[in-house]
Amino acid sequence: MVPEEVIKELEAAVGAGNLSTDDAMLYVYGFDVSDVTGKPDIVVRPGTVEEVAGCVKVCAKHKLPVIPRGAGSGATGGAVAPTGGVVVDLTRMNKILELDLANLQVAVQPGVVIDQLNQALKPHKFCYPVIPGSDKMATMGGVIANDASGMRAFKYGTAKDYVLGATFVMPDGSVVPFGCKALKNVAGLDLLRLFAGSEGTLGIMAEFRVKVLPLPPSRGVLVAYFEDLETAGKAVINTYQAGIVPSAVEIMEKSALEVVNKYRPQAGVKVAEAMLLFELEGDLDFVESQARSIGYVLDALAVGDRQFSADPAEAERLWSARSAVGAATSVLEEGHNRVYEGEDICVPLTEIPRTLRKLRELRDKYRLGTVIFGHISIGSLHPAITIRKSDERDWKAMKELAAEIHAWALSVGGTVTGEHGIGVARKEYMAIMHPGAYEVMKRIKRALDPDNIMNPGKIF
Amino acid sequence: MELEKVRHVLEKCARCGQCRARCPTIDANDEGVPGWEVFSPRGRMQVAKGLLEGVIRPTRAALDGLFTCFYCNQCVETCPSLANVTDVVIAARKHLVEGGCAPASILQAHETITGSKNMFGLDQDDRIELWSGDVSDLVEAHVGKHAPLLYFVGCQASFKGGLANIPVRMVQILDKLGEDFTLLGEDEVCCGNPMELTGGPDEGLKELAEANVNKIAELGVRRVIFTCPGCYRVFKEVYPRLLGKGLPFSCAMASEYLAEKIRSKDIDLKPIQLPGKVVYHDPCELGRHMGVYDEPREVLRAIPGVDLVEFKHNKEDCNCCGMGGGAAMYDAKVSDFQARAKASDIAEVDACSVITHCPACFQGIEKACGVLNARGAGVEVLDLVEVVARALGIE
Repeated sequence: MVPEEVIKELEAAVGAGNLSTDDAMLYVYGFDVSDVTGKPDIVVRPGTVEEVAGCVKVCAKHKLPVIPRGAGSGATGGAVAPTGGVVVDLTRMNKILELDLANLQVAVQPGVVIDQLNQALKPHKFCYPVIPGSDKMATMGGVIANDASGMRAFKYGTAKDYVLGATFVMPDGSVVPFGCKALKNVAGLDLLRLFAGSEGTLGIMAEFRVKVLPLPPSRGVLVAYFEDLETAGKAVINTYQAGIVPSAVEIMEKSALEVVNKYRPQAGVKVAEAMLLFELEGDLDFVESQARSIGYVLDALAVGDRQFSADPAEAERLWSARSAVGAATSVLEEGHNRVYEGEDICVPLTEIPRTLRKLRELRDKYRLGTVIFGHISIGSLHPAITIRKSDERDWKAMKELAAEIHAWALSVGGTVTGEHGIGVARKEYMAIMHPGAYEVMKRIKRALDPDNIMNPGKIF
Repeated sequence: MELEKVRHVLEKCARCGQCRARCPTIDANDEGVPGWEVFSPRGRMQVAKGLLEGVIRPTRAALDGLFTCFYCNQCVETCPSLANVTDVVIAARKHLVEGGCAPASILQAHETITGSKNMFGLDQDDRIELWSGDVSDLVEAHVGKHAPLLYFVGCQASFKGGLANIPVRMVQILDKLGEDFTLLGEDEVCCGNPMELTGGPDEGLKELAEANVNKIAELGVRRVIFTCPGCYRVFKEVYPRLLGKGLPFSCAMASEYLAEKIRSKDIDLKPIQLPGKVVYHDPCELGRHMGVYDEPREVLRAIPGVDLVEFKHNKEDCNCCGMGGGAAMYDAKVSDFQARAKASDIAEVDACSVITHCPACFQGIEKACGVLNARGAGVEVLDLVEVVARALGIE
């Protein structure tokens, strides 16, 4: 129970009407996509950097946990409060502060939604290319704090690659600006890349300056079906070796093709061992020329079953199979629903075929409906496990299955998370993945946040 | 236990938050209201879950979240887990009503409907009086007669003077087309839509359903025509469940009926003059809830002189006008805010006329047009039947 005087101090910092201690309100802030839960004691919704800093100062004074939160679309428990404390909901700070397109950059508040930014950039023929699957609701703050990426990561990298500057609110409430308007900057330690991906454990990034890129004028989609997983894996590498850089290469394993076929027959999906979707961008001639080059790669591998279109409507139809996977998973089996565990492994590209086979083997072993798909371009796989949520046995089996998926990813030189992060959900793997380096991370954390008020229980 | 019935829907929710993207009450906006997670579909699902499991009380935030939902179904369209969020919202409202914890304004509304048989607490004798005016003779001639076709007027159009043109034009259209039709007059009772949406008890709803269905059956009616999607949805979807049997007549929105007439060439629509672009607004209960998108467009396209354009967000993605779900009965501000958001949609397509097909939407769009007209825009709102009446030369 937080003393009344603390509530008054926080209210003074954030303004009347922007603080809640309502029991139901606190309850809904106790969830994100993961199964980690934690009800805060207070939720505040600051509107300015000063208000964020004011809240953090109060929390620092009273040693209260501070949990920064965007849209709550994370899958690791990063935005919930397992130890109570103050959730700082940053979605009120949703303004695009500056479009400085002549300098290829924009300044935004952390609550700006990725799609909101891209809609604002579109008329100017620019884009922010970090587009996670959650781009319609995920916020810039959340995306950068988790160093998110998505299906175009192979070509465009991850969120940290686009941050030119940020205003940090440190764990003592002090405000520290960092970065500049130059597109390159190697002056001193790179605090931007330290904070990006730190999941709110080092402070709150309360404003950003990020790089933007020209919007590609056209887009084509090439779909190819494979009767063995090795050939699918080879097709990706051979495409790269042919000098082609697709903006995305997605894989849908047989399980994904089957459910999409059942859920959305109009997508015209065929059932094979795997389907690859190549997304190509550029002017139309370039897109078509890249598609021809991929065609040669596929010819050499004797893959004949494929379709290509650069027509926007037809390309959208081809892509619709991939877009439908999420919903299709929901109809996999009556009464079974998706859970987000073991859902974000990333493995070396050469290990993709073996990993896909391993995932099938584990699915059969645990008898839990699991749909397999992912960003094969960069080795990210998203096995979507479904369970009967009211059945304890399913929960137990799912936990064991997720643990085996993680163990496999580590055994082949991969990671338990390619893009969703650690949070609470995967914290146990930190010491395993980073023997030695985890201690260095802890030292940095202790140096910046000696009272461990910033998002405690996450990563560390 | 209403919430127990939707436990399986709650379990479907993966809490991914995709629903935040298009929910009008959580949507990011310049004015930044309401914005709290409890105003998102996911937040409402969590409130319902908390109430079901008995881990939260029906606090102010719980009520605010649940009773500000417009029932627009954008969340259901968006949900990758195929969770019917609005079913949960209605069940949670019902749970609160049953527990005596619902807001006073909602309980009062239920009492009014149950007592007066209409949502305004007015005398049933006024059901025809308040709108028939110049066509009272025509109306009188049809009320209570045996006929194969019945026009169900609905409370909004019956009692709200500003909407009188909708039933007047509908009756004139049926007359012009030579239909043998009837009306219930003062025997028409509220369809129950506002009660159903705000968690009213099944017994009260059933009583209204029986009154309407029995009276319609007595008149030998084979088909009922509606100009209100709320009434239409309740007749088609809720009545059979409440009564435990199918209805002895079919139901159609006026646009469905008129589209049939166009296809069979039984209607002669003359050119009309509507200045500038015309845009059609899809009512949530007609579009996303009942899947009627094409017929209203088919009708409007059949009228020479109508330059029909589309909203950027249209059909399944059409933005709510803010008048749905009984939210305005709980908090008019939320509804007004959404009307302002809708004004931006109208301005974006530069339309001079907005056509809708719902008396509640008519009022929401009127508010939106009011925002634009205050800036000198000159935008008019019309119901679809008013446009058709003009094309039939009805003055």
